[in-house]
This record gives sequence, C-alpha cells and structure tokens, in this order.
Amino acid sequence: MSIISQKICTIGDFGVGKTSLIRRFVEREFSDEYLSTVGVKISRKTMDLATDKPDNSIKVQFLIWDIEGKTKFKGIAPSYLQGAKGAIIVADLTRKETILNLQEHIDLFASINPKKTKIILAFNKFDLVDQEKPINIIKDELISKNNRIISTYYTSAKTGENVDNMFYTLAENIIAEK
Amino acid sequence: MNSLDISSQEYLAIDRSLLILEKSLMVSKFADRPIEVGEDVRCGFPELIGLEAILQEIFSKQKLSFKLKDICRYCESNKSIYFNLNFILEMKDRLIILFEDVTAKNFKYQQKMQAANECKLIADRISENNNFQEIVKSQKTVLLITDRFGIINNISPAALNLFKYSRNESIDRHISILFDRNKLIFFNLVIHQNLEVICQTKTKENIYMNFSCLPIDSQQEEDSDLIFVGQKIIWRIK
Repeated sequence: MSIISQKICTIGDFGVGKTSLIRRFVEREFSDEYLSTVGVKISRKTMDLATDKPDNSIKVQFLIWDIEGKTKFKGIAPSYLQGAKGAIIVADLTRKETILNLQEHIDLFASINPKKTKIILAFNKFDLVDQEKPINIIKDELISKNNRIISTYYTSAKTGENVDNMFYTLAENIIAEK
Repeated sequence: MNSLDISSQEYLAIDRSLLILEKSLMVSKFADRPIEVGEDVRCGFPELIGLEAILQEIFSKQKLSFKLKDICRYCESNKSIYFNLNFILEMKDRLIILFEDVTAKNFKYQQKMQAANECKLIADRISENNNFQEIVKSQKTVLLITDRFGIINNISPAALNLFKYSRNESIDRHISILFDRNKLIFFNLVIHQNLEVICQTKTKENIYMNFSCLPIDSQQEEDSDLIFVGQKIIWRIK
C-alpha cells in the first residue's frame, strides 16, 4: 500500500499550545512545561484512513510543521507555509487576543497558498475554561468569513480531547480534495 | 569545477527528479535519516515535501533562489541542531542546496524568547487575576515583581532558591540586591526587552542571567508594577 505524504502547518500566537497538540498527536505525551519553539520543527505521523471501497484504506503521512508562534515583535515567516495542503490554526481559550488574531493567521496562510487548502481552527486549553459559549460569536463570524475553514474544535493537548479527531478530519478532507 | 564556490560549505546537488547527485562529506548530520547519492532527497529532508513546485521554478529559472531558515532537527544524542537551507540553481538540471549551521545563534535566541514569552504569559495571567500571589508561588521559573521604582514586592520560590535569599530578606528590598546597580539606569529602556545582567547571590556568587521585563498593566505602563522573568544564560539547548 502506498503512502501519501502531505505537508500541513500549525500556526498561531506564541504559547497557544501548537507544540503540545503535535506532541499529543504524534508521541501521545504532554508536558505542562512551556518551551518556546524557535524556527520550525517537522514531525511525521502516518494515519490509516478508511475509503469508500471495500477492504481498502489509504495511508497518509502528515509532515507537520510546528512553526514558531507569532509575537509582538516577530511574525510568521511566509516561506514556512509554502506548499502546505492544510493548516491547523490555534488559539488559546484563556487568552482572548489569541482568538482575535486568528483572522490574521488565516489571511496569511490563504495568501501564501491561494489554491484550495483546508483550515481547521483549534481553540486549545479547553480543560482550563468552564464553558465554550463566550467565543461562539467570534467562531461563527470566522467560519462565515472564511470558506476554507472545514471545522473548528475545542481541544486540550493535556487531556487529548479532540486532538486525534482534528488531525484525522484534516487528513480526510485533504485526501478527498485530491 | 562548479561555477558556485561551495568548497567550504556542506551541500547537496540534486536533479530535476529531486535525486541526489552529489553530497558533501558532513552533510548527513543535517539529515533526518541516512542519505545516499541516487536517492530522493525528500527521504532525508522531509522539509522538501510540498516544495516541489518551488524547486521546479528554480530549475526553470522562474525563481532565482529560495531560503528556509531555522529548521530544527533532533539528533540521536538527544540534542537539537538548527540549520538554514538555501536553494540555488548551479547549472542546468543541477540545483545546489547549501546548508548553514545556525545552532549557536538559535540556542541564544531560544533562551531570550523563552524568557520574553513566559514574561508576557505570566503578566497576562496576573493582570487578569487578583490572586497573583498564588500565580507567583506556583511558578517554576525565576520571577520577580517590583514596583515601578524597583522595590521587590513578590518573588517566586525558584528565584529565592537561585539567589539564596529568604522571602523576608528579599521582599521590600531594592532589586539592586540582585542586579548590578548600573544596569538599573536603563530600567525604563529595558521594558519589553531582554536584559543580560550579572546577578549576585547572597553568598556573592555571580550568575549570568537573561531577564525579560514587562509592565503588568500594559494600559498604564508608567504606573504599573514590573514583572521580571529570568533564565540562567547557558548557551546550550536542553
């Protein structure tokens, strides 16, 4: 069975949990210790995706680009985003400004990859908040303005909630586009 | 000989099919897995997956060059290296990938960013939470809070441990018990910036530290307490 390799990126402000989400997905581990990412680190993860055909599945290898988060002083290098088939754009539910900055990240990714690419929004650190309601308006507005967003998830790298779902959904949508 | 002088650098030469034509002696240290001449370059350098169209643009001279900076790779020895990739067409059907080791620069940068980012995260948490004593107490990092004149009003256990002061010995004292006093002239200038200082412990031991400093209340910076997050300067990554 052949393996289809696809590049995806995780982007967002610093400290939102991009590295932790990847680590949870790839290594099944989590650490509370914050270690800021510099530059870019690439991880591989192979997934078996079911297809419509009987007894048939596809192996998809994600090359996941864990990209240094945006700070007040340094933006995201556009060269990292080139050639990506999809992106997980991450915000921290405990920091409103990271949610407000999502549109900026969406615009950057879309400007570098103008062809059909898929975006998932991850509202991370769900384990640290009581309810999801306060951001529903922002979330709905983002979805209505950006037709590349295929889904949004409330995630927790700590508990693993929705992490696998999110990556598999992105993989299925990218493969469906091929 | 090649028109491009690559004699002093690590490099790979690849063809249009992205097969390795030639490799320099030590270039394998940058690879994700062992590489051989004749193989697809993407096997050892997964960074190139997705960049096929850009590489073909360089081959066809639609693009002169392309650069990827600060790629991190974990090595077998559990250390990280950082490198830049520079793609240049050397001659028809022969593209050179130049490797630049930027590990030292990025170790230094990582430490600075770590302190700066942690400082901002903690400042945000404190500004949104009245019970900041608990936040400071729970920090594993070296953290100090001073008033705008530099009087320490809170200090994390990690900072007490590092500087060998007790809580009572440090609270309400000026931050110059830790820093070189001359550096404090720049107090207002260092806000939002990193400050490299030689600190002194109670036992007169010198410690090289990198501090990041931010006002807790970003709306009223001039009157705000200041938060300092520090790291010992060790120009080696974990």
